[in-house]
Amino acid sequence: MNDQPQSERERRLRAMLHDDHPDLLPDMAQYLDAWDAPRASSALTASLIERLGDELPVPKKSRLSREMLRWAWMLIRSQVRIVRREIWAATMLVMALGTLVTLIVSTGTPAQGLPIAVFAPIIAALGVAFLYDSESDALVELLDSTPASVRLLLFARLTLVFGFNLVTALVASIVLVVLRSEISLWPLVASWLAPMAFLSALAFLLTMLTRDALAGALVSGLLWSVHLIFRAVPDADPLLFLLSFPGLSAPESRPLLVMLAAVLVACALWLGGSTERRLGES
Amino acid sequence: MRTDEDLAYGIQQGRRNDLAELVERHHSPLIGYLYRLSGGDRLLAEDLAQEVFLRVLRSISQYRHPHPFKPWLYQIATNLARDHFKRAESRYVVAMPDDASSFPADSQPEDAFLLTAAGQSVAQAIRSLPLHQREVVILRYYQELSLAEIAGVLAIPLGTVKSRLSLGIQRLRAMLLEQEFES
Repeated sequence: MNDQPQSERERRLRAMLHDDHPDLLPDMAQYLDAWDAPRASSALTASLIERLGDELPVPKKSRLSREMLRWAWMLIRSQVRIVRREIWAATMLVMALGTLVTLIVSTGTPAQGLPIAVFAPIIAALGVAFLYDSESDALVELLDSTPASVRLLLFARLTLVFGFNLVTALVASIVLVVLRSEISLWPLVASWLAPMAFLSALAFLLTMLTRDALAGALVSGLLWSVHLIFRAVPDADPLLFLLSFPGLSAPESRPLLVMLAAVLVACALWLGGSTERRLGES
Repeated sequence: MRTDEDLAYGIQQGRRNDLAELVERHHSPLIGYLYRLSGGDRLLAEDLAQEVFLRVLRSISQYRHPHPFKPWLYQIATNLARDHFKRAESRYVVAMPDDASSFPADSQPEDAFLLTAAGQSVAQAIRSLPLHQREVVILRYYQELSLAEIAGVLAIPLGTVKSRLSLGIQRLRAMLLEQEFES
Protein backbone atom coordinates (compact mmCIF):
# COMPACT_ATOMS: atom_id res chain seq x y z
CA MET A 1 0.00 0.00 0.00
CA ASN A 2 2.79 2.41 0.89
CA ASP A 3 4.57 2.32 -2.44
CA GLN A 4 1.66 3.96 -4.33
CA PRO A 5 1.86 7.71 -5.02
CA GLN A 6 -0.07 9.83 -2.54
CA SER A 7 -3.09 11.75 -3.74
CA GLU A 8 -3.73 15.26 -2.46
CA ARG A 9 -6.77 14.04 -0.56
CA GLU A 10 -4.77 11.22 0.96
CA ARG A 11 -2.13 13.70 2.12
CA ARG A 12 -4.81 15.78 3.81
CA LEU A 13 -6.34 12.63 5.31
CA ARG A 14 -2.96 11.58 6.63
CA ALA A 15 -2.47 14.99 8.24
CA MET A 16 -5.93 14.92 9.83
CA LEU A 17 -5.48 11.38 11.10
CA HIS A 18 -2.10 12.29 12.50
CA ASP A 19 -3.63 15.25 14.33
CA ASP A 20 -6.55 13.23 15.69
CA HIS A 21 -4.82 9.92 16.36
CA PRO A 22 -1.01 10.15 16.29
CA ASP A 23 -0.71 6.48 17.26
CA LEU A 24 -2.64 5.19 14.21
CA LEU A 25 -1.19 2.90 11.61
CA PRO A 26 0.45 4.90 8.80
CA ASP A 27 -1.58 2.98 6.22
CA MET A 28 -4.87 4.23 7.63
CA ALA A 29 -5.06 7.31 5.38
CA GLN A 30 -4.42 5.28 2.25
CA TYR A 31 -6.95 2.73 3.44
CA LEU A 32 -9.72 5.31 3.90
CA ASP A 33 -8.80 7.05 0.66
CA ALA A 34 -9.49 3.87 -1.29
CA TRP A 35 -13.27 4.37 -0.91
CA ASP A 36 -14.05 6.79 -3.64
CA ALA A 37 -17.46 8.36 -4.08
CA PRO A 38 -19.32 9.16 -7.30
CA ARG A 39 -19.41 12.74 -8.50
CA ALA A 40 -22.40 14.54 -9.91
CA SER A 41 -22.33 14.74 -13.69
CA SER A 42 -22.51 18.25 -15.09
CA ALA A 43 -25.91 17.39 -16.64
CA LEU A 44 -27.25 16.30 -13.24
CA THR A 45 -26.02 19.49 -11.57
CA ALA A 46 -27.41 21.62 -14.38
CA SER A 47 -30.85 19.99 -14.15
CA LEU A 48 -30.81 20.44 -10.37
CA ILE A 49 -29.94 24.13 -10.73
CA GLU A 50 -32.75 24.48 -13.27
CA ARG A 51 -35.24 22.89 -10.90
CA LEU A 52 -34.05 24.87 -7.90
CA GLY A 53 -34.31 28.10 -9.90
CA ASP A 54 -38.09 27.76 -9.78
CA GLU A 55 -37.94 27.53 -6.01
CA LEU A 56 -35.65 30.53 -5.59
CA PRO A 57 -37.20 32.62 -2.85
CA VAL A 58 -38.32 36.15 -3.52
CA PRO A 59 -36.38 38.23 -1.00
CA LYS A 60 -38.51 39.53 1.84
CA LYS A 61 -37.34 43.07 1.35
CA SER A 62 -38.44 43.33 -2.27
CA ARG A 63 -41.71 41.55 -1.46
CA LEU A 64 -42.24 44.08 1.30
CA SER A 65 -41.36 47.04 -0.90
CA ARG A 66 -43.68 45.73 -3.63
CA GLU A 67 -46.47 45.48 -1.08
CA MET A 68 -45.70 48.97 0.16
CA LEU A 69 -45.65 50.36 -3.37
CA ARG A 70 -48.97 48.69 -4.10
CA TRP A 71 -50.43 50.09 -0.91
CA ALA A 72 -49.09 53.59 -1.67
CA TRP A 73 -50.53 53.39 -5.18
CA MET A 74 -53.93 52.36 -3.83
CA LEU A 75 -53.81 55.18 -1.28
CA ILE A 76 -52.99 57.77 -3.95
CA ARG A 77 -55.70 56.36 -6.22
CA SER A 78 -58.22 56.64 -3.41
CA GLN A 79 -57.44 60.37 -3.25
CA VAL A 80 -58.37 60.97 -6.89
CA ARG A 81 -62.06 60.96 -5.92
CA ILE A 82 -61.47 63.37 -3.05
CA VAL A 83 -59.57 66.07 -4.95
CA ARG A 84 -61.89 68.60 -6.59
CA ARG A 85 -62.36 67.94 -10.28
CA GLU A 86 -61.93 71.63 -11.06
CA ILE A 87 -58.28 71.42 -10.02
CA TRP A 88 -57.47 68.94 -12.82
CA ALA A 89 -59.37 70.91 -15.42
CA ALA A 90 -58.01 74.31 -14.35
CA THR A 91 -54.44 73.06 -14.28
CA MET A 92 -54.66 71.59 -17.76
CA LEU A 93 -56.40 74.65 -19.13
CA VAL A 94 -53.86 77.11 -17.69
CA MET A 95 -50.94 74.98 -18.80
CA ALA A 96 -52.39 74.75 -22.30
CA LEU A 97 -52.90 78.52 -22.38
CA GLY A 98 -49.39 79.07 -21.01
CA THR A 99 -47.97 76.84 -23.73
CA LEU A 100 -49.94 78.66 -26.41
CA VAL A 101 -48.91 82.12 -25.20
CA THR A 102 -45.31 80.95 -24.89
CA LEU A 103 -45.39 79.71 -28.47
CA ILE A 104 -46.64 83.10 -29.62
CA VAL A 105 -44.30 85.36 -27.64
CA SER A 106 -41.23 83.24 -27.02
CA THR A 107 -38.86 84.66 -29.63
CA GLY A 108 -35.49 85.31 -27.97
CA THR A 109 -36.89 85.37 -24.41
CA PRO A 110 -34.75 83.70 -21.68
CA ALA A 111 -36.25 80.55 -20.14
CA GLN A 112 -37.30 82.14 -16.82
CA GLY A 113 -39.14 84.90 -18.65
CA LEU A 114 -41.28 82.54 -20.71
CA PRO A 115 -45.01 82.55 -19.87
CA ILE A 116 -44.92 78.84 -19.08
CA ALA A 117 -42.29 79.53 -16.36
CA VAL A 118 -44.62 82.19 -14.96
CA PHE A 119 -47.84 80.14 -15.07
CA ALA A 120 -46.57 76.73 -13.97
CA PRO A 121 -45.50 77.63 -10.39
CA ILE A 122 -48.63 79.56 -9.53
CA ILE A 123 -51.12 77.12 -11.01
CA ALA A 124 -49.43 74.36 -9.03
CA ALA A 125 -49.59 76.42 -5.84
CA LEU A 126 -53.31 77.15 -6.35
CA GLY A 127 -54.03 73.47 -6.92
CA VAL A 128 -52.17 72.45 -3.78
CA ALA A 129 -53.85 75.19 -1.69
CA PHE A 130 -57.24 73.66 -2.43
CA LEU A 131 -56.13 70.20 -1.35
CA TYR A 132 -57.51 70.72 2.11
CA ASP A 133 -60.80 72.39 2.84
CA SER A 134 -61.87 72.15 6.46
CA GLU A 135 -65.48 72.93 5.61
CA SER A 136 -66.16 70.31 3.01
CA ASP A 137 -63.34 67.88 3.45
CA ALA A 138 -64.18 64.23 3.80
CA LEU A 139 -61.21 63.72 6.08
CA VAL A 140 -63.30 62.61 9.02
CA GLU A 141 -65.07 59.93 6.99
CA LEU A 142 -61.78 58.84 5.54
CA LEU A 143 -60.26 58.60 9.00
CA ASP A 144 -63.07 56.29 9.99
CA SER A 145 -62.92 54.17 6.87
CA THR A 146 -59.17 53.76 6.23
CA PRO A 147 -56.30 52.58 8.38
CA ALA A 148 -54.20 55.56 7.16
CA SER A 149 -53.44 58.63 9.29
CA VAL A 150 -54.41 62.18 8.31
CA ARG A 151 -50.74 62.95 7.65
CA LEU A 152 -50.52 60.05 5.24
CA LEU A 153 -53.77 60.97 3.50
CA LEU A 154 -52.64 64.58 3.10
CA PHE A 155 -49.25 63.49 1.85
CA ALA A 156 -50.87 61.12 -0.66
CA ARG A 157 -53.11 63.94 -1.86
CA LEU A 158 -50.18 66.36 -2.08
CA THR A 159 -48.17 63.79 -4.05
CA LEU A 160 -51.11 63.27 -6.38
CA VAL A 161 -51.79 66.94 -7.13
CA PHE A 162 -48.16 68.06 -7.17
CA GLY A 163 -47.28 65.05 -9.36
CA PHE A 164 -50.08 65.95 -11.74
CA ASN A 165 -48.87 69.58 -11.94
CA LEU A 166 -45.31 68.40 -12.45
CA VAL A 167 -46.26 66.05 -15.28
CA THR A 168 -48.50 68.65 -16.95
CA ALA A 169 -45.76 71.30 -16.82
CA LEU A 170 -43.24 68.79 -18.09
CA VAL A 171 -45.45 67.82 -21.01
CA ALA A 172 -46.01 71.51 -21.81
CA SER A 173 -42.25 72.10 -21.71
CA ILE A 174 -41.58 69.14 -24.01
CA VAL A 175 -44.21 70.43 -26.45
CA LEU A 176 -42.48 73.82 -26.46
CA VAL A 177 -39.05 72.27 -26.99
CA VAL A 178 -40.38 70.20 -29.88
CA LEU A 179 -42.11 73.16 -31.54
CA ARG A 180 -39.46 75.80 -30.84
CA SER A 181 -35.89 74.77 -31.56
CA GLU A 182 -34.42 77.78 -29.69
CA ILE A 183 -35.88 76.56 -26.37
CA SER A 184 -33.82 74.01 -24.40
CA LEU A 185 -35.61 71.59 -22.13
CA TRP A 186 -33.46 71.59 -18.98
CA PRO A 187 -33.13 75.42 -18.54
CA LEU A 188 -36.89 75.68 -19.07
CA VAL A 189 -37.72 72.95 -16.55
CA ALA A 190 -35.21 74.38 -14.06
CA SER A 191 -36.82 77.81 -14.37
CA TRP A 192 -40.21 76.61 -13.06
CA LEU A 193 -39.39 73.54 -10.97
CA ALA A 194 -37.92 75.15 -7.81
CA PRO A 195 -40.48 78.04 -7.63
CA MET A 196 -43.27 75.50 -8.23
CA ALA A 197 -42.07 73.31 -5.35
CA PHE A 198 -41.64 76.26 -3.00
CA LEU A 199 -44.91 78.02 -3.78
CA SER A 200 -46.88 74.77 -3.60
CA ALA A 201 -45.34 73.92 -0.23
CA LEU A 202 -46.02 77.44 1.06
CA ALA A 203 -49.64 77.29 -0.06
CA PHE A 204 -50.04 73.88 1.55
CA LEU A 205 -48.61 75.05 4.87
CA LEU A 206 -50.69 78.24 4.94
CA THR A 207 -53.85 76.29 4.21
CA MET A 208 -53.09 73.91 7.04
CA LEU A 209 -52.26 76.81 9.37
CA THR A 210 -55.30 78.95 8.62
CA ARG A 211 -57.68 76.07 7.68
CA ASP A 212 -58.59 78.25 4.74
CA ALA A 213 -57.64 77.23 1.20
CA LEU A 214 -58.10 80.77 0.00
CA ALA A 215 -55.46 82.12 2.38
CA GLY A 216 -52.84 79.72 1.05
CA ALA A 217 -53.77 80.48 -2.53
CA LEU A 218 -53.81 84.26 -2.02
CA VAL A 219 -50.49 84.55 -0.17
CA SER A 220 -48.67 82.32 -2.67
CA GLY A 221 -50.24 84.12 -5.61
CA LEU A 222 -49.44 87.52 -4.14
CA LEU A 223 -45.83 86.60 -3.39
CA TRP A 224 -45.31 85.30 -6.92
CA SER A 225 -47.02 88.32 -8.50
CA VAL A 226 -44.99 90.83 -6.47
CA HIS A 227 -41.87 88.93 -7.32
CA LEU A 228 -42.66 88.99 -11.05
CA ILE A 229 -43.53 92.69 -11.01
CA PHE A 230 -40.40 93.78 -9.19
CA ARG A 231 -38.26 91.46 -11.25
CA ALA A 232 -39.47 93.37 -14.29
CA VAL A 233 -38.80 96.79 -12.71
CA PRO A 234 -35.14 97.74 -13.17
CA ASP A 235 -34.80 100.32 -10.37
CA ALA A 236 -37.21 99.18 -7.70
CA ASP A 237 -37.19 100.46 -4.13
CA PRO A 238 -34.71 98.25 -2.17
CA LEU A 239 -37.29 97.47 0.53
CA LEU A 240 -39.92 96.45 -2.00
CA PHE A 241 -37.29 94.52 -3.91
CA LEU A 242 -36.47 92.54 -0.76
CA LEU A 243 -40.17 91.95 -0.09
CA SER A 244 -40.51 90.51 -3.57
CA PHE A 245 -38.36 87.55 -2.51
CA PRO A 246 -35.69 88.11 -5.20
CA GLY A 247 -34.28 84.60 -4.90
CA LEU A 248 -37.52 82.99 -5.99
CA SER A 249 -36.44 82.60 -9.59
CA ALA A 250 -32.68 83.02 -9.29
CA PRO A 251 -30.80 79.95 -10.52
CA GLU A 252 -28.39 79.98 -7.54
CA SER A 253 -31.21 79.79 -4.97
CA ARG A 254 -32.95 76.76 -6.53
CA PRO A 255 -31.44 74.14 -4.19
CA LEU A 256 -32.39 76.30 -1.20
CA LEU A 257 -35.95 76.68 -2.48
CA VAL A 258 -36.33 72.91 -2.84
CA MET A 259 -35.01 72.38 0.69
CA LEU A 260 -37.33 75.05 2.05
CA ALA A 261 -40.21 73.38 0.26
CA ALA A 262 -39.39 70.08 1.98
CA VAL A 263 -39.31 71.81 5.38
CA LEU A 264 -42.64 73.55 4.73
CA VAL A 265 -44.28 70.29 3.67
CA ALA A 266 -42.96 68.58 6.82
CA CYS A 267 -44.41 71.40 8.95
CA ALA A 268 -47.74 71.17 7.15
CA LEU A 269 -47.92 67.41 7.69
CA TRP A 270 -47.07 67.88 11.35
CA LEU A 271 -49.99 70.29 11.58
CA GLY A 272 -52.12 67.68 9.83
CA GLY A 273 -51.25 65.24 12.63
CA SER A 274 -52.52 67.77 15.16
CA THR A 275 -55.78 67.88 13.22
CA GLU A 276 -56.00 64.12 13.58
CA ARG A 277 -55.56 64.39 17.34
CA ARG A 278 -58.26 67.03 17.53
CA LEU A 279 -60.59 64.92 15.41
CA GLY A 280 -59.91 61.98 17.67
CA GLU A 281 -60.72 64.04 20.76
CA SER A 282 -63.96 65.49 19.40
CA MET B 1 -13.55 33.37 -5.08
CA ARG B 2 -16.72 34.30 -3.21
CA THR B 3 -17.36 32.51 0.05
CA ASP B 4 -20.24 30.09 0.62
CA GLU B 5 -21.66 32.58 3.10
CA ASP B 6 -21.74 35.37 0.51
CA LEU B 7 -23.39 33.05 -2.00
CA ALA B 8 -26.01 32.03 0.57
CA TYR B 9 -26.68 35.71 1.21
CA GLY B 10 -27.03 36.20 -2.54
CA ILE B 11 -29.63 33.41 -2.63
CA GLN B 12 -31.55 35.20 0.11
CA GLN B 13 -31.61 38.19 -2.21
CA GLY B 14 -32.99 35.99 -5.00
CA ARG B 15 -29.81 35.89 -7.10
CA ARG B 16 -29.94 32.92 -9.45
CA ASN B 17 -26.21 33.03 -10.32
CA ASP B 18 -25.25 32.64 -6.67
CA LEU B 19 -27.55 29.64 -6.39
CA ALA B 20 -25.90 28.05 -9.43
CA GLU B 21 -22.41 28.64 -8.05
CA LEU B 22 -23.25 27.25 -4.62
CA VAL B 23 -24.89 24.14 -6.07
CA GLU B 24 -21.97 23.54 -8.43
CA ARG B 25 -19.59 23.86 -5.50
CA HIS B 26 -21.41 21.48 -3.13
CA HIS B 27 -23.40 19.07 -5.27
CA SER B 28 -20.68 16.46 -5.74
CA PRO B 29 -19.32 16.61 -2.16
CA LEU B 30 -22.87 16.29 -0.86
CA ILE B 31 -23.57 13.28 -3.06
CA GLY B 32 -20.29 11.82 -1.78
CA TYR B 33 -21.34 12.37 1.82
CA LEU B 34 -24.78 10.87 1.40
CA TYR B 35 -23.40 8.04 -0.70
CA ARG B 36 -21.01 7.04 2.04
CA LEU B 37 -23.54 7.64 4.79
CA SER B 38 -26.06 5.41 3.02
CA GLY B 39 -23.42 2.74 2.68
CA GLY B 40 -22.92 3.18 -1.06
CA ASP B 41 -26.35 3.79 -2.57
CA ARG B 42 -25.68 6.21 -5.39
CA LEU B 43 -29.24 6.77 -6.55
CA LEU B 44 -30.42 7.37 -3.01
CA ALA B 45 -27.52 9.80 -2.48
CA GLU B 46 -28.47 11.76 -5.60
CA ASP B 47 -32.13 11.94 -4.56
CA LEU B 48 -31.26 12.99 -1.04
CA ALA B 49 -28.78 15.62 -2.28
CA GLN B 50 -31.51 17.13 -4.42
CA GLU B 51 -33.86 17.15 -1.45
CA VAL B 52 -31.16 18.77 0.69
CA PHE B 53 -30.82 21.67 -1.74
CA LEU B 54 -34.58 22.07 -1.87
CA ARG B 55 -34.70 22.25 1.92
CA VAL B 56 -31.82 24.72 1.94
CA LEU B 57 -33.79 26.96 -0.43
CA ARG B 58 -36.99 26.64 1.54
CA SER B 59 -35.27 27.58 4.78
CA ILE B 60 -32.74 30.03 3.38
CA SER B 61 -34.51 32.87 5.20
CA GLN B 62 -33.38 31.25 8.47
CA TYR B 63 -29.72 31.39 7.45
CA ARG B 64 -27.92 34.22 9.26
CA HIS B 65 -25.06 35.75 7.28
CA PRO B 66 -22.10 35.44 7.95
CA HIS B 67 -22.52 32.24 10.00
CA PRO B 68 -20.61 29.32 8.40
CA PHE B 69 -22.74 27.85 5.64
CA LYS B 70 -21.10 24.45 5.21
CA PRO B 71 -22.00 23.07 8.67
CA TRP B 72 -25.57 24.28 8.15
CA LEU B 73 -25.73 22.48 4.80
CA TYR B 74 -24.39 19.25 6.31
CA GLN B 75 -26.74 19.54 9.26
CA ILE B 76 -29.67 19.57 6.86
CA ALA B 77 -28.17 16.67 4.91
CA THR B 78 -27.54 14.61 8.04
CA ASN B 79 -31.04 15.17 9.41
CA LEU B 80 -32.55 14.28 6.07
CA ALA B 81 -30.50 11.09 5.84
CA ARG B 82 -31.39 10.11 9.41
CA ASP B 83 -35.09 10.63 8.69
CA HIS B 84 -34.79 8.52 5.59
CA PHE B 85 -33.01 5.69 7.40
CA LYS B 86 -35.60 5.79 10.18
CA ARG B 87 -38.47 5.58 7.70
CA ALA B 88 -36.76 2.80 5.78
CA GLU B 89 -36.20 0.85 9.00
CA SER B 90 -39.82 1.15 9.99
CA ARG B 91 -41.00 -0.07 6.58
CA TYR B 92 -38.65 -2.97 5.97
CA VAL B 93 -35.11 -4.07 6.56
CA VAL B 94 -33.00 -2.87 3.69
CA ALA B 95 -29.93 -4.82 2.82
CA MET B 96 -27.09 -2.41 2.17
CA PRO B 97 -26.57 -2.41 -1.57
CA ASP B 98 -23.50 -3.78 -3.18
CA ASP B 99 -21.73 -0.88 -4.87
CA ALA B 100 -21.43 -2.33 -8.34
CA SER B 101 -24.93 -3.78 -8.38
CA SER B 102 -26.63 -0.55 -7.26
CA PHE B 103 -26.36 1.12 -10.66
CA PRO B 104 -29.34 1.07 -12.97
CA ALA B 105 -29.10 -1.09 -16.04
CA ASP B 106 -29.37 1.91 -18.36
CA SER B 107 -26.44 3.79 -16.83
CA GLN B 108 -24.29 5.52 -19.40
CA PRO B 109 -20.61 4.52 -19.53
CA GLU B 110 -19.50 7.99 -18.34
CA ASP B 111 -21.76 7.58 -15.33
CA ALA B 112 -20.33 4.23 -14.43
CA PHE B 113 -18.66 4.24 -11.09
CA LEU B 114 -16.91 1.12 -9.96
CA LEU B 115 -15.15 0.47 -6.73
CA THR B 116 -11.80 -1.20 -6.44
CA ALA B 117 -11.48 -4.20 -4.17
CA ALA B 118 -9.79 -1.96 -1.60
CA GLY B 119 -12.62 0.53 -1.89
CA GLN B 120 -15.22 -2.16 -1.34
CA SER B 121 -13.37 -3.34 1.70
CA VAL B 122 -13.37 0.19 3.23
CA ALA B 123 -17.01 0.68 2.28
CA GLN B 124 -17.92 -2.53 4.05
CA ALA B 125 -15.92 -1.54 7.12
CA ILE B 126 -17.50 1.92 7.36
CA ARG B 127 -20.96 0.49 6.72
CA SER B 128 -20.48 -1.76 9.71
CA LEU B 129 -19.98 1.26 12.01
CA PRO B 130 -23.00 2.48 13.97
CA LEU B 131 -24.59 5.50 12.30
CA HIS B 132 -23.40 8.00 14.93
CA GLN B 133 -19.77 6.89 14.43
CA ARG B 134 -20.15 6.66 10.67
CA GLU B 135 -21.35 10.27 10.56
CA VAL B 136 -18.35 11.69 12.39
CA VAL B 137 -15.83 9.58 10.49
CA ILE B 138 -17.26 10.60 7.12
CA LEU B 139 -17.67 14.25 8.05
CA ARG B 140 -14.11 14.39 9.36
CA TYR B 141 -12.12 12.35 6.88
CA TYR B 142 -14.12 12.64 3.69
CA GLN B 143 -15.91 15.99 3.98
CA GLU B 144 -12.92 17.46 5.85
CA LEU B 145 -14.95 19.36 8.42
CA SER B 146 -13.19 20.51 11.59
CA LEU B 147 -14.11 18.89 14.89
CA ALA B 148 -15.92 22.07 15.95
CA GLU B 149 -17.88 22.13 12.69
CA ILE B 150 -18.89 18.50 13.18
CA ALA B 151 -20.07 19.35 16.69
CA GLY B 152 -22.22 22.07 15.11
CA VAL B 153 -23.57 19.80 12.38
CA LEU B 154 -24.54 17.03 14.78
CA ALA B 155 -25.48 19.36 17.64
CA ILE B 156 -23.32 17.46 20.10
CA PRO B 157 -20.46 18.58 22.39
CA LEU B 158 -16.93 18.64 21.04
CA GLY B 159 -15.89 15.92 23.51
CA THR B 160 -18.58 13.62 22.12
CA VAL B 161 -17.31 14.22 18.59
CA LYS B 162 -13.80 13.26 19.70
CA SER B 163 -14.90 10.13 21.48
CA ARG B 164 -17.13 8.98 18.60
CA LEU B 165 -14.32 9.64 16.15
CA SER B 166 -11.85 7.79 18.29
CA LEU B 167 -14.11 4.77 18.70
CA GLY B 168 -14.95 4.74 15.00
CA ILE B 169 -11.38 4.96 13.86
CA GLN B 170 -10.25 2.27 16.35
CA ARG B 171 -12.84 -0.07 14.89
CA LEU B 172 -11.70 0.70 11.39
CA ARG B 173 -8.09 0.16 12.40
CA ALA B 174 -8.99 -3.20 13.87
CA MET B 175 -10.62 -4.17 10.59
CA LEU B 176 -7.62 -2.99 8.61
CA LEU B 177 -5.29 -5.02 10.85
CA GLU B 178 -7.53 -8.02 10.41
CA GLN B 179 -7.42 -7.62 6.64
CA GLU B 180 -3.65 -7.28 6.59
CA PHE B 181 -3.35 -10.33 8.76
CA GLU B 182 -5.60 -12.30 6.42
CA SER B 183 -3.71 -11.15 3.34
